[in-house]
Amino acid sequence: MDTRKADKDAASAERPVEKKQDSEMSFALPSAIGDRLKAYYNDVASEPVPDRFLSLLEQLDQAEGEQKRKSDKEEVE
Amino acid sequence: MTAETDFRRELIAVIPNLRAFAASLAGSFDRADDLVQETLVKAWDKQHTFQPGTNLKAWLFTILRNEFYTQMRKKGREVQDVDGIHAMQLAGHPEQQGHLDLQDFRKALEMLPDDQREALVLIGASGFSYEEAAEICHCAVGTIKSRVSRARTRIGQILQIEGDGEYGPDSIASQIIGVAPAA
Repeated sequence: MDTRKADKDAASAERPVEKKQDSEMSFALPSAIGDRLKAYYNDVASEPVPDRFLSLLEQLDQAEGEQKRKSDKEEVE
Repeated sequence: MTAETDFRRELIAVIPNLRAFAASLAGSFDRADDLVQETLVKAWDKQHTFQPGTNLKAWLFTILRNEFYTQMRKKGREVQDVDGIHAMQLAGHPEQQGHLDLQDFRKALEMLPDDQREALVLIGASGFSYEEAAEICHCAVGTIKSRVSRARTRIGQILQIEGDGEYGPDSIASQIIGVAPAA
């Protein structure tokens, strides 16, 4: 019982360490690379969403709404 | 209608990230935005296959990446810009004038193989976990780890960032790729 408990403790103690290694790895990019990578990415990601995408989604949303109304109507008929 | 409008709002929230990822894949901003457009249309068509509560951002990245590689296969290498043009187009981005440091970085990133570049971007910039990146790229977690590791070693070499030892494969990645850590 005691050994099992100890094993369990050891196992649960190990797991966070593994996790920590993983998250450390994701931040292990040296800042000289990591910072520039983020600057490169955010150069685009920080721009406002272009209108073409907003109107595209609006069109898709409206088309779907119309289609639904149409099929609802057909069902009733 | 409300459900669709919610879905639309969530899509819009991910667009900035999709554009940045697309630019890193495609190399030109025009092509990146075309990719994003196709991704949004595809996502809209198959929104019923998306499981609410799961990671929409990862789902959209997967669609975009699949779309990119499908196009590449269809059109062949011509789709991917020749190295110099690719880098030049990115460097020509108006926001970037005067940012020499960033231009050098773009060029260095450009020199990486596609699989290493996308792994580096997904992990280092898009904020995905190794597990999520592996799902997006349809490969094993260990594969993503070794790609990131090789990518950063290579970038370090290209940019000649000092303190080489810091940029070699770390102990975990070294075990995976069977290479001794640098330094």
